[in-house]
Amino acid sequence: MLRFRGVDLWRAGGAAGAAVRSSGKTLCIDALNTAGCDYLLYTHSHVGHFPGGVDAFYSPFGGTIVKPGDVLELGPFRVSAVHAYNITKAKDGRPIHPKGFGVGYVVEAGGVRLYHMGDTDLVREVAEVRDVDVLLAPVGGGSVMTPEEAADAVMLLRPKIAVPMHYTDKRHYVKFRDVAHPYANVVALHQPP
Amino acid sequence: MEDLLREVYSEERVVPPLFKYKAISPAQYARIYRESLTPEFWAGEAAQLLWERRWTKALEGEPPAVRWFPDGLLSPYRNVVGRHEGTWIWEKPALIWRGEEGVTRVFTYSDLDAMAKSYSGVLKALGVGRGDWVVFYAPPTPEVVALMLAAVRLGAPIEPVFTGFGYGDLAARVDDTRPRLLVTVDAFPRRGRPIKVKEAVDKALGLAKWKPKVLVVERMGVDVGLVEGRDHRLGDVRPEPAEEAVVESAHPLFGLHVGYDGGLGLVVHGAGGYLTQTYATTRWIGLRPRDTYFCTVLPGWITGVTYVLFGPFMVGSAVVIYEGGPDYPGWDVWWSIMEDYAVTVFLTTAGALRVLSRQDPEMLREHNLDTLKLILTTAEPMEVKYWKWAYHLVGTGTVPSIDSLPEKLSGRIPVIHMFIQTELGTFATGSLPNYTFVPIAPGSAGPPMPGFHIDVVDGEGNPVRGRPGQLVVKSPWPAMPVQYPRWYAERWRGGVYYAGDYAVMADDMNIFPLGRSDTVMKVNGYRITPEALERAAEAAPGVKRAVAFGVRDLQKFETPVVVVAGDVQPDELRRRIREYVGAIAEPAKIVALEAMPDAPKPELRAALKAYLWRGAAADGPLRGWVEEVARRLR
Repeated sequence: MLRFRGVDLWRAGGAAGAAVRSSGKTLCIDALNTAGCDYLLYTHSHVGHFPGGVDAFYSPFGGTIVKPGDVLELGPFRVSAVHAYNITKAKDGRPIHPKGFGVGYVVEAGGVRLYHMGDTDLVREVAEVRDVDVLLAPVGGGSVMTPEEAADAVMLLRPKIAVPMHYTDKRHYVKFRDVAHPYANVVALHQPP
Repeated sequence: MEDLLREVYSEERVVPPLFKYKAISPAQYARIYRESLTPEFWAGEAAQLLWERRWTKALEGEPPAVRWFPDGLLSPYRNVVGRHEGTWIWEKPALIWRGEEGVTRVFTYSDLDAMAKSYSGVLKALGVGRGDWVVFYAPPTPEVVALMLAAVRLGAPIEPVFTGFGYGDLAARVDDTRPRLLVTVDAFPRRGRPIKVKEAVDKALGLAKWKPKVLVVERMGVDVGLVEGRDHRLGDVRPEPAEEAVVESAHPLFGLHVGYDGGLGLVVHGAGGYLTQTYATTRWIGLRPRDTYFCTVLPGWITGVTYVLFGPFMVGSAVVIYEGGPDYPGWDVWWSIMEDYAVTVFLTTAGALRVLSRQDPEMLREHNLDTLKLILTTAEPMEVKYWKWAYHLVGTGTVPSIDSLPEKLSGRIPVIHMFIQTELGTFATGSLPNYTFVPIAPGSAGPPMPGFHIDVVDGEGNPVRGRPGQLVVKSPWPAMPVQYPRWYAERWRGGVYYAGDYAVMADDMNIFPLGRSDTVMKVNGYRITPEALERAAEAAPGVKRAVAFGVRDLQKFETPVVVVAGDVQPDELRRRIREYVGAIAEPAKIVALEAMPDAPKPELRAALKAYLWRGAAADGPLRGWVEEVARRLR
């Protein structure tokens, strides 16, 4: 678990599951393990991000629908949705995550601006996000940023803390870390046992 | 000593691939070094500090009673933390703290500043003002670090006491320092179990004549008793407005009790000179603002004070502190920390490398340490084989740099061993990544750093090369103690400071320390006075007299042995010493004899050490006794 100012942050299963706790409430993004979550948000509907069978949640595909630009006030959390899509990761000539398919979330709570990027490339809308304290960056290539591209996002957004997610191969973490660390403090958050 | 010399001495000189283009020639080093041995050199370094009133004179007085920058005024806090306000460093991490349970807490410089400002109001509310001592008997949690900085902000000198010392040792320090406040925690975890440190504080203050107030920082939430009127919880004290102190250059910043033959002595460093030397050496050893720096030596020891609490914050680096021991939850925890936080500079002790090198190598191989650019070590002498282990196995990494060959474990980054001593305040020898980087002599502590007039001399005070002599400093250094015990003053002879260590200096000025030349013990790099063990032993029933000294230990470099006259239970005596002095001082062996020669203790200790370390037989009546002790130790 990472504790920074007024928030606690931990991995919540899946490719990019994250739980953020502040002022006694827990907001979860892409959580496969939803126990203890007061607010559930999903970035898109792919396996590994959305477990299905969830009753009340916010997302661009079901539950309470969220689209880029929307702002949610959820207890102590202020959440803004940001575009998340591919421009260079394609299957059969089509982006794996086309524009409009998913989102990322900027969460403000406890004096911290935390940006969960969703599954995305380093696109213009990502570059427009400002004043990020903690960046949760998808790393791995294939359907999200390569380690080098994710490090480019760190260079551009200059968060205080960069937390890589989504990788399944440790070499991707290492590559990201080695390129990104001069620009932000990298913290590897491991899934709870 | 010859055996030890064989293990630490090396003719080899190594330039790591990553530093291939930084190395300077011996002639260049000699010129820079020669020109640095003046007060003006340090005056140039002092100009890097922020002075509220600039000094007009660099140095006055004669050693040991010297004053650096005597008419200067400065805010120590501004020089450590406040200097970054308004720069990009202000909003970057200053402290990454990992608790034993695995929680990571991150604080930016602005966060740390906010805590220190608030806590200085807490200290003020508890009566702490300029010049009042605050003793810390607590592990460096973020709150404790911020409280130390808060005291610095008030101009209140601090003494961090290692929690491995027992209540008797703490009581002795409290009586000597006479603090206004003692800061502790309720408990801290050690291998998953709470160590109730507040209980040790209660026992110590029951023993001590001086009675300070106590501030309890909650770490584990265990139930501790509070003494009405004496004890206060951090969260219960309402802060008062507190101004940032501007102090004279010689104003006491912090102090540490160190072991001498005769007992514990408080060595106090003054703000201006000490911070000058600390800022300079921290930059020279290679720390920069973008570094993530993991130091396994904690405040309580001079390395931990200078290179955790002051130097790295002055530079603007991110400091990583791990609460637990090197073996919990596994022997790979330090490698895991370096991998998880992209650590670039790692500082540890030679003793730690010894222990780590004996663990399953797979635990090291499982972790990627490619972000490391520098390994720094200190404390006790470093055997060449452990330097090589660190250089090749820890430092090579998986990605080639310049001409390194990962598959051949060629080495890649420097492993730099350095000499430090509480009285010196900072590292004083070592090849310097950001200044005079000379080829590394494995096993050595490097050549003297610029500004430190260090030599190795024989019994007559003449320089010796290639054979053992006494390590000396021949002119004042800025962090010279501003308050000190007589034992320190007695080490100044003819304007030369005898550090109390044997060493060999090679022709290229590389220094190979060989351990203490007196009978103070260096256990895992920590100076332990024999007097403390003897006092604890003689308080036990049945013990008529006790003498403590150190014997060579392949793990800890040196380990205590206690010889007692009387009828004793060794296990009971060991337990008493562990509780009273601390676990670090627990004797490896108790030798119980019916009688002890009627000679002064310093003579007995010296005779035992001379025989066991150098094979020098004692003269006259001590001879038989020394041989009997040696026989019992075999």
